[in-house]
Amino acid sequence: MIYLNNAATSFPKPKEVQDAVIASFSGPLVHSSRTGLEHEDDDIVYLCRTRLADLFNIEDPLQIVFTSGSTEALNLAIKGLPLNGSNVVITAIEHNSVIRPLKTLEKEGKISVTVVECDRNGYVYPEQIAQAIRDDTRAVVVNHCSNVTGAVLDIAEISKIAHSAGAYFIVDASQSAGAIPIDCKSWDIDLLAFTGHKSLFGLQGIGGLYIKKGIELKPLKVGGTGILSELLLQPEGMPIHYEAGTPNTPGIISLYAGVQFILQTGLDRIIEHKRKLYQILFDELGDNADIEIYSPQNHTSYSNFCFNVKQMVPEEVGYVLEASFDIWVRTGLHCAPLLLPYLGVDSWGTVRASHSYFTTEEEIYKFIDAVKKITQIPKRK
Amino acid sequence: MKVVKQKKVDDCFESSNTVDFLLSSPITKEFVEHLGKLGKLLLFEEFDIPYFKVIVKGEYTIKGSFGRKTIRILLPEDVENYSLEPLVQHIEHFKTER
Repeated sequence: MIYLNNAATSFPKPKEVQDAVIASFSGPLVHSSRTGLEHEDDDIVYLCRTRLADLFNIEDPLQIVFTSGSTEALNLAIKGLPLNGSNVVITAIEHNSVIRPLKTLEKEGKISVTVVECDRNGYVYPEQIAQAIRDDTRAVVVNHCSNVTGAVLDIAEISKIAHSAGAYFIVDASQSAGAIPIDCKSWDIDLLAFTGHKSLFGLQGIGGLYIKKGIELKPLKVGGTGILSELLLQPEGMPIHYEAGTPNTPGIISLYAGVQFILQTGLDRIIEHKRKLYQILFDELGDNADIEIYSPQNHTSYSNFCFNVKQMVPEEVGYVLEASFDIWVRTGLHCAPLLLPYLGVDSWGTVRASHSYFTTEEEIYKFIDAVKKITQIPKRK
Repeated sequence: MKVVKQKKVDDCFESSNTVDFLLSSPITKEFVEHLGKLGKLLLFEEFDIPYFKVIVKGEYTIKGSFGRKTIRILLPEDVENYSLEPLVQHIEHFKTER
């Protein structure tokens, strides 16, 4: 099997991640600090926060809250901020994990939502966001990297624009975390949502939200915390205020191992490998008259190759890739329904092939060969 | 050949009216040729695993790959409760032992 659906969930995971997860079943998944301090430095939950802080340039690791993934993190950010009566600016490349919480609030009459358009590759120009901001805009929510085309936005510039308007700046880093550099401090990000199961190489079911100091959110959930049990209300401290319930320790262990792998391997090296594969895809398919490519050559994560075979339904392309070549890709709308009109595609969506650090050149060439063969199928549209 | 299970495919963009058939035996070239009697057979034997489509004009399209046990049937979008019984019977007339 050739797996090119890493933008959904990465596979394979580094061996270090596999080993760490398997090892986690050899002992009890509870902390051992009740009888002493000797294991405090080995607290995997804290260590994971520190490694994430290193990767995202966050000063205080305790400002990172673990969640079940980006969707929960974004719900916490969006529903936790005092946005009632205000306008929220988003972009056309947002995922449903941003669109649906905001559209739900809009339907309830609590906020209005403004969508900023993108170009035909999914890139959003910062000046267009500036133009969309209104007097009542209280938050700007942007997808750092399109999960469809792989287009990467200028977060530093958009942050300045949002803050100059007095708005909160929320970044969806689902696709970018572990794939390209993120600098929460320099970019002055207020809230950064990420998931562990994509480029951070963790398990499904783990993610997090970075909350800049000074920003207070209403928790999505309250309940047991394992400590301060005498309190009848949720403890106020970070990150426990937002982490009610038993933590997903296997997920955190996997995330720690994944982030360690990235830091030890080097993000530059990971990016360079993916850039090389990306260039091969463009070199081999870029001039093919039967193929329409939507991914950009600049402002990209080098991870997503989004395309259609002209006059073929993308779902059929995906079906044949899997059934006849054992190549797994993703087809359809990719949970980003606002984007399609800007790409110039119809309601059938696109094909997305997303490679990873573990994808080989040989696999990419097999994929290219398969796509070229599929263009021979008589067109139906 | 038996149709072991039928399942409607949700969220299929090719047709909102799509059904998968799980078959009792892997798909062979002979079985595909048997299906091809229903309409126009398109066969792509140069693919790693040969791929086929059978287009039954005005009715439905069948597609699948050799060696697998599932075929996909794309039915007309605008017809509800389309009867697949004739297709099931045609499939079950194929003798896998021969």
